[in-house]
Amino acid sequence: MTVESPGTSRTSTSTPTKQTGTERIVLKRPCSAPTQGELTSTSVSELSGSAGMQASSSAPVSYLDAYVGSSAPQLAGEILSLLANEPVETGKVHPITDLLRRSLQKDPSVSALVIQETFNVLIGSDDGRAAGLLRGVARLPKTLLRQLGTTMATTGLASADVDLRQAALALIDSWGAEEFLKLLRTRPEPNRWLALYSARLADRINR
Amino acid sequence: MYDIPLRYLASVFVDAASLRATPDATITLLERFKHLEVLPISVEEVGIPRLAFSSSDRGITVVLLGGRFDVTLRPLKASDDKLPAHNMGDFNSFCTMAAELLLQILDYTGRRAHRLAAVQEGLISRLTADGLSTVRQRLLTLPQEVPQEDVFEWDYRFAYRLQRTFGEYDETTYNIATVLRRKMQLEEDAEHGPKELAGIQVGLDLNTLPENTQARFSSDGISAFFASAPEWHNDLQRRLEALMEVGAAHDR
Repeated sequence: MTVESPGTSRTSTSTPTKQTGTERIVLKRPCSAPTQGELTSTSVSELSGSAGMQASSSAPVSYLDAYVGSSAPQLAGEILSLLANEPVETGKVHPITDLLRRSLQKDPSVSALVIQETFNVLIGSDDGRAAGLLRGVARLPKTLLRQLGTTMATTGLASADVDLRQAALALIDSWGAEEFLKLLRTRPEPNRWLALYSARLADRINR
Repeated sequence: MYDIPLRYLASVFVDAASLRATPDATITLLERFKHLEVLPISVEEVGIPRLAFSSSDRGITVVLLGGRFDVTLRPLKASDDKLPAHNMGDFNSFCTMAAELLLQILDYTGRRAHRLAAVQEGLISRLTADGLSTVRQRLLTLPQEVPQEDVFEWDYRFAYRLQRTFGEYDETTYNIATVLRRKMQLEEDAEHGPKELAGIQVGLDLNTLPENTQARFSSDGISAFFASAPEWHNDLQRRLEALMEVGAAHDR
């Protein structure tokens, strides 16, 4: 359940409002694909982190609640549908890449939020599709969603699912993500082939 | 006082501007938070990637910003659609859980807190029109020319300083109560559409002063603060309740 962030709900001529005078409370259903307003996370460019000189210590809620009332449900549905229709395989073109690119170019914040939430919902419930989504993200230029891609790859590496860990390594490989160098060298990898891939990848990034 | 909890928040304020989200830090914390079944989420603070975790199953969010570490609990929709949501529990349990988490984070990051805060927000949803009117009359004096019954939004807030003792600390605290009258919609799901709620939102915020930025709170001090916070909140709540006459205004 989320409540729109303070300042957006007042009936005020100075504050842009999406729904004048109405706060919307959204109940979040656990373990489901995201729908409108159920999103719990995002990356934001401006997050005022400190209560500073004010008496109130209440944290800003905008990073949780900023995207109520967006095109999020449609995108989430399309992502899930494309991933169900056809697995994302190495060396094969998949329509998910084009969908992600278009949506990120059109509405970067909401799209990134939907991609992340969809990925997190799939983790543990449908690791195959989560890996597919990660592979789709890996095919995008890293400038388009670098922070989110890094977070998703980290989640993938921490997974017990081999396919997800492989997809995470594919993203690190594709992006030449040097922030993973330390992790690639220290993380124990039980799968022999992936351990080898991980070590070679670390060497390549280091060069 | 309220029948629908909207948010519980526990915060420690720290100097952690240099702390960034990195894959190895994320995985280390993920391991520490294993029992919460959280996953990393991407949060940026003015372009700086910060460590953040969220659990879609439990409604918990943990965010490590440059100036504060927050643990937040938000309600989830219960399978039986009943409110309040099953995951919230009481504020006391939340404070216990959040304090443990925050201490783990402080230990991992090697930070010491200079300010502590405990916040809860809830919605009094089951008020009749008369009940709402009573609360408004108790809290606000409106200009005569304003048609009293047509006032559909209002804010009420007070803050006061109070010396409080917890653990080895004797600190001045800010005690803040907020009451907001809003037109609200409860959006239960896309199929049925939003449901209008005639509610008022109540917020209670208790925190140590921001002016003292000396990193001084020990683990025991933090535990003591969050152990005492629920009773301090109850006290503030009782005062607000008496002022609002919300018991009499409630239609339950």
